[in-house]
Amino acid sequence: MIRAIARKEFTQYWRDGRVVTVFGIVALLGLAATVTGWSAVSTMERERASAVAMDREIWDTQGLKNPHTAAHFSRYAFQPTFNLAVFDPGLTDYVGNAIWLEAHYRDPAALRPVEDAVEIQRIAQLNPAWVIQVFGPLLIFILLYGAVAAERESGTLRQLLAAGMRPVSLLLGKAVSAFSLTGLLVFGVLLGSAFLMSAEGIERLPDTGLRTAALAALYLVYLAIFVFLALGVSALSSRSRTALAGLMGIWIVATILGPRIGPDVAGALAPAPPAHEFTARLQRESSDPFWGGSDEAVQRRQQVLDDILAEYGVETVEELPINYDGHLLQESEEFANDVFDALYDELWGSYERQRAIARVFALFSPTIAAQNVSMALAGTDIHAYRHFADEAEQFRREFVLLLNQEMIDHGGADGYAYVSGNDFWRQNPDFAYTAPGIGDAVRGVRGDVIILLLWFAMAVAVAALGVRRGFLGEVAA
Amino acid sequence: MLEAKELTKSFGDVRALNALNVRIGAGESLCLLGANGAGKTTTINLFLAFIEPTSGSALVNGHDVQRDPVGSKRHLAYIPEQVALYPSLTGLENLEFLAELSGHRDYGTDELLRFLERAGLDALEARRRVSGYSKGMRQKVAIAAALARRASAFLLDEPLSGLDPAAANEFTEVLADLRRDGAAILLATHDIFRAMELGTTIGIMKSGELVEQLDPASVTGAELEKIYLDHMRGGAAGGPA
Repeated sequence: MIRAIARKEFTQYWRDGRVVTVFGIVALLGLAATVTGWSAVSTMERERASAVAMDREIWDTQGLKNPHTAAHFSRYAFQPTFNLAVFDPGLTDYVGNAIWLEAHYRDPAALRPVEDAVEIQRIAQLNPAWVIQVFGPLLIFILLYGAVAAERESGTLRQLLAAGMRPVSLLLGKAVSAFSLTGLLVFGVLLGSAFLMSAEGIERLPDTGLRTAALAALYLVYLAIFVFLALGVSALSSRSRTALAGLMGIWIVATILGPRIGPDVAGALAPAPPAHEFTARLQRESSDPFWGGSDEAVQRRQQVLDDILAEYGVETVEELPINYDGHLLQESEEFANDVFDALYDELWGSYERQRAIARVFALFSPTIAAQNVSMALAGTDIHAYRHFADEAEQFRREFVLLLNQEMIDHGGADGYAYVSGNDFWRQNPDFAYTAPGIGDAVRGVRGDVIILLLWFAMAVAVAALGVRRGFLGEVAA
Repeated sequence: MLEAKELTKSFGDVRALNALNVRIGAGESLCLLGANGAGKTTTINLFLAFIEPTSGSALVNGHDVQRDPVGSKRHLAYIPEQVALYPSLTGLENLEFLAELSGHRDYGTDELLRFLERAGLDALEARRRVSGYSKGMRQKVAIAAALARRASAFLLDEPLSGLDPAAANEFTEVLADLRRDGAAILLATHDIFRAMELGTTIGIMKSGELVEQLDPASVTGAELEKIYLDHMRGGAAGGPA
């Protein structure tokens, strides 16, 4: 019975020019978004490869220089734009993909493509995930707003029930047909993305296969929510126009307003420190207490001196077998690192608070929860960025230590006059980044997954209510 | 076979049907006459299990429609005044869908076309989209659907209203054929003369009660009309001479 209903629905879709047109437009949007995503990722990866090579070349050929001075001259850590960013670029355009690695300072990321974007691009981002998140529900609502209400208006519902059709079979038949059509869109876009993701020059995210399967599952659950909601609303509405108006309201709130308002409210309630203030604070709190002229700073430097003299059992700096300036620089690094850890923990904490507040809005908009999970699976959310930033910071610390150690070990009494050459620079390692696996990626979005499942249960309940009230009240009319 | 036993339905304080007792066997047809609100459609809704009786029971081929709604509808056909079909599908596709709903997935196109032809719709018309069908043509598809599901009991709610005389005549002939083939038919109508043609029994309903049962062979059309009008005016029924 369900199969017969689904087949009949498909025939009706096919013959309804409006459905074919809307599906065609959404499919074209999906195709365009996929190609655009691939083009953007390819360009970013090409530029990254070129920048990495140039960075290395400049480093290797900087000539004679004091190693610590070189630590200020320093290098970049570039974040790869991984293959799944073709499907969902997430925050890629907003967080930047290059971190300047210098001594005494932990830089935020630079090179944010959004800085070059015109305003409208910030409102409508054409990417495959966004097309499914926004247009998938719209397509479902257009397919299903009349699922029960129109059958009731035309009188066919009464006849189908008279023929012994169970209401739940009608709903499931309609659900299967709408779900298949929109599922086709999801798989088409995912397959297209997967094909383009495998293009040469694009780095593979760990667990890409598993992540892609999880993305497919995510979007099927997401679309199923809207399928059951549409069926329930249609069954409970006296007229198909009423159902359409109600569903359009749900669509606007869920896919357009919710994802815009949620982050804005979160940003207002738990503001992150302004960039210039944060940078100034980093500078002030990591440097002044060590290098400044305050009693605290003087005492701290004196303590470093006392400790190293005691360690080597000598009386003066000149007697030390190491380059003391290099040692003092490294000590200041380690002091600053503790400050960076504390301040960045505060910064990440403010982002986490924003996410928690925005997640409350997911109770009104499953799109918010789906976006969070989708970005996490694609490795383009704030958690993925933090992983990269932390890895880059770890590399910075090791790299600066390497340079300072060169000065400490080989600088002797030369102080800042000690220099290294290209032979040394060429031995220095590159930053190599490995993204976390899927388990780590989804740890931060468990709340969003639960919210999506709650939405699914609620949508099924609305459909069940529609079966109970919407059908039985009708037939006696 | 269609049977009502003390079938009663109240909506709040209003008694829409009061202790109806009828039995329509194979090859029999009961034509219910009555004004709007007399209880004809309520009777049909009760047989379809669309509403629950306040008391009593309705049976289709021995199945209590409340206890076994699926079993009772297996061989039951319902044809309303306005047969609703899917306009973007052809008559043949509508029939195929309706046959599948009743569990008959095994019919081929030729077989379905034969059902339509028997209902009075030729193959050319059957392959046209229903959006261009007249009311009479849609009713033929409904009859074909009843044939396809091998219905033995028919519920018809004002099927003749709005049909042109030729279409009404054609429809009446098809129903007469079905009855001769053993169908049990309950037909609600305002058309006294079609009731005379089709009914093996004619019932007159008023205010939820079956106030008169007549053998159409025992009265003329004019007599039936007089009896009916007497009931509608509120007077006592006068039996045939």
